[in-house]
Amino acid sequence: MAVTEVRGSSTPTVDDAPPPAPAGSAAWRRNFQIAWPAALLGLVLFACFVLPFLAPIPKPIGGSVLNSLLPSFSPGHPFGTDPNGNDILSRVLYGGRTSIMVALAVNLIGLAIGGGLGAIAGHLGGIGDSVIMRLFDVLIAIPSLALIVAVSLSLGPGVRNTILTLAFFSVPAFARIARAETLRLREQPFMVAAKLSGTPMWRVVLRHIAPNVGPSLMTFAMLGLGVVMVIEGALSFLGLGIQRPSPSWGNMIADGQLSLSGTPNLVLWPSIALFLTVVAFNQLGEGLRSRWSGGR
Amino acid sequence: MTHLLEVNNVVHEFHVQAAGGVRGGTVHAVSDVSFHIDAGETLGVVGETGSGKSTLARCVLQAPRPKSGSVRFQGTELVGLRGRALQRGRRDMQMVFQDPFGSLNPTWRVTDIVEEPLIGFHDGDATTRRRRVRDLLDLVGLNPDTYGNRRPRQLSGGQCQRVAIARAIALRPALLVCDEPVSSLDVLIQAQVLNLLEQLRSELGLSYLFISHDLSLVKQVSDRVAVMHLGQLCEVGPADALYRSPRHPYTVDLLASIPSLDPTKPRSNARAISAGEPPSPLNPPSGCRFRTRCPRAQQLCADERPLLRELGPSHLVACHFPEPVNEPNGSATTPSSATPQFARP
Amino acid sequence: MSSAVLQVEDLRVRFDQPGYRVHAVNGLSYQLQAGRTLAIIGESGSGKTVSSRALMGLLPPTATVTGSVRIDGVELVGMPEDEMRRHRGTDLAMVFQDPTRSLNPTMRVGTQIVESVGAHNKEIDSAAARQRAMELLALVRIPDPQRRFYQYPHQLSGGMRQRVMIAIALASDPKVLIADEATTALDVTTQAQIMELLTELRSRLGTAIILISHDLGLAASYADEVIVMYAGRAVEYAPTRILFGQLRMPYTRALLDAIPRLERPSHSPLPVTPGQPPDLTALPPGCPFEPRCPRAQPVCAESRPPFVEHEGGHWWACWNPCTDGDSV
Repeated sequence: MAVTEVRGSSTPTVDDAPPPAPAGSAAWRRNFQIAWPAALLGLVLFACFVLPFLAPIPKPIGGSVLNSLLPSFSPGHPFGTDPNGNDILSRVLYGGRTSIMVALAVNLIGLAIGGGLGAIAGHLGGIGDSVIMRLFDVLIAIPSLALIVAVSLSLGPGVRNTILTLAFFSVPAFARIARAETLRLREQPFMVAAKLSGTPMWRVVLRHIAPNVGPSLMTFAMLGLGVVMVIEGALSFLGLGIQRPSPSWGNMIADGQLSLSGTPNLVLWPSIALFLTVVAFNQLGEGLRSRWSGGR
Repeated sequence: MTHLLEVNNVVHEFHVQAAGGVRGGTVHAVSDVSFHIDAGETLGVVGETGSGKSTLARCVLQAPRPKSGSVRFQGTELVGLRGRALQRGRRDMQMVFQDPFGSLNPTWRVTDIVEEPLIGFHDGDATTRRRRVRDLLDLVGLNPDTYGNRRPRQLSGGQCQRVAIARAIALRPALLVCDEPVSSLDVLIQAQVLNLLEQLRSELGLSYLFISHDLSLVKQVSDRVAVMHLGQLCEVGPADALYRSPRHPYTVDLLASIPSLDPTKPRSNARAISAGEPPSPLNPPSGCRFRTRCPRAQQLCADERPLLRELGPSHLVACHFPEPVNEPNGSATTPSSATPQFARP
Repeated sequence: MSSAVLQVEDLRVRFDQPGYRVHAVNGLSYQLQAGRTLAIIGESGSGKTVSSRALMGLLPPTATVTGSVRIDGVELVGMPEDEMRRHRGTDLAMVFQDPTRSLNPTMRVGTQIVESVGAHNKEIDSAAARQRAMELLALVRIPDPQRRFYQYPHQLSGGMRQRVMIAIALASDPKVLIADEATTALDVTTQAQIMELLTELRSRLGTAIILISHDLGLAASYADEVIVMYAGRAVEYAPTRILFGQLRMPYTRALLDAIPRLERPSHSPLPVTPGQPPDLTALPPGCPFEPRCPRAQPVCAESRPPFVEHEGGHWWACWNPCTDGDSV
């Protein structure tokens, strides 16, 4: 009465044919999502850290004023020179070293200290959690740029102090993420099972919490790298951060902006480098995030 | 004779703050619950959502520690123990959880998961541990060569549950606390896992505290059954007696509400249909907590909390006006109200 | 025969993922008369939920739906989304498993019912819509509807929320109500209450009900007809009494035997069906249950048994069916 017709029951129909697409295509697409930003990043790192030793590239400082403000594509100075006669290509490459190192260091410190404290706060709960997180709340509540300027002024300029200043402000964000993820984990039955298995706390943090919280923190760090480079530029703009004549992408852009209409190449080249690097880091973070979360 | 596990007057409450503090209060999750489990015995605890049965299971394991009461396991009082002493005290007590995927750390491999308790309690050196893990996987029906190196997401729900069981029995525990261990599995897989638990019980002499909302399931695995309602036990008894002749009106309603597999049988759930919804554990009724849904309730039920008393051999009922006994010949007898009260006040 | 309110013919659903293709529903056909209850029973991955979502047009864009679904003769497969939206609700409504996630936690339940009344009847004024919402709350037997109307979902119990969901589903007088595991998350006494409510509404309003469930007991107690699905196909179909009286399909028998029952003595081993359900990306050429089937013959692995009517009103797809009184 209810079932009316029988179709395609005994012989396999077209629908049952094996999937036409090769099984590897999904994996390939996922790999590509990570491969291209990784390749771009590799290129940038190679150019900044290796190329200056291989190619005849002049020093980034101590140029002759006779060569000042050469346009791009001048002989011997493909990106041109700055008002002091320094080669811009060279300054972009050497500045990249500083910018990338500062960004990496800031995020590593934030990841280690913030991630560690956040995970411990989330795992402990109770008073320990409240104390740690309220401290970070206070840090977050203060207008960040104003405080960065204040801290930077009191520490003084220089690469190391720039790193410390910026790290100081990346810690609370890492801590918040690590704590939220740990709280989510704490409700998972496998954490109770670990307790019943007699697993000591340090092992729970290292083996249960860290591998599960790690991916989110790594992703956040990748996105944070770009942000740090831009903020370092802002600091340079205020005369803090990396001190001239040492180049960083941030201070090159900051200086170049003063004469943007006359000599745009001062801003153009470091901006392109910054842009490519930030895009590479962000896309790599995004690709890793989707890979790590997709498998769950 | 001492029992393997003796739980006395356990109370656990927690505070909730729901939706922006609109409705906060104290959830009376477990209110004065006492029971015991003997070696080799399975006690099934059955109850609805919010009856506090899962909280009770966690309290037995001291995760979290109950607010008050006593949990004696193998002669050791667990409430009040901390750190290593607590870990040693409950070493022979392990748990199997409802969520097969949440039970296993997604970043670990199967062999590492099963090995965890062996490492935690320093049970053997690396080689003997490795061998034991292989034996355990074999025992729960997973080929160690095929599954040993997989991660949880490469397993089905039933296979995950087998891994969780292997981890739970790694230390040769005396008691396994199972909180809805098969309710997220499909029927055919559920039968496989239930049979595995049954096989382990007879081979390893395990005791179970088996928590479930499913009365038929509890009947299948249990020697004795406890019925829980809003944080209190209302009936405890040998499985056969309790199912043949339920004495608490709540047990009667629960049994009548199970959809029958025989379509020719008329539905007998009229009383449960009219009984309405369970009251909130935030604000349980005075006296007997079932009285608002009970057709037999009288003034006494509101005034005085009925305590568990023995109405048959090992058959305890917390009711002022219990249901008559279902005799095989159909006649019903009402017990004398002078039966002495069993539970401590 | 033509009084069927819903006609499903050769419904097929597949999901195209990069690299593989999941055959979720592979040729499902049935008819449903007004005022009847059809239970579709199966395990996870059997296609029971996907097939009902396909009726509602609620599948993600990766899904390809073919075949025919007609409500009162109107073909729904291939209908553009804006037109489909009109039919969804007025002709077909659905109640889901999780009433907590189906309701908006920030809106009063009354407002949510009023909204769905308004969505299907643009001309209705707000006073009339409110009136209708109150009636619906009373219809689904929510006590004290005047007060409940102004409450938020979290102030209601699970059973009450599911009643609200049913009220919302009934706001437009649907011809077919699909209950997708609607009582699975509820307790056994609350489940009985909701099922009795659905049964009562069915006879009062003449709504046809499709009961999607994994629970054979629910089908035996509340359905008029039962379809058992496995690997995206119907494998047995019959009026409830015939199906539970004279099981033919070994898979149905395995399901029924694996359920713990009150009549069974404690600790008795359950009959076990080994293995896992088949991989829906690569279905075998023969019967999909063959690798797990205790009655399997050589022919079962070679060719798929047709799903045909073997006895009056009783359909199955098996080369070696169970006979009366058989157990696996």
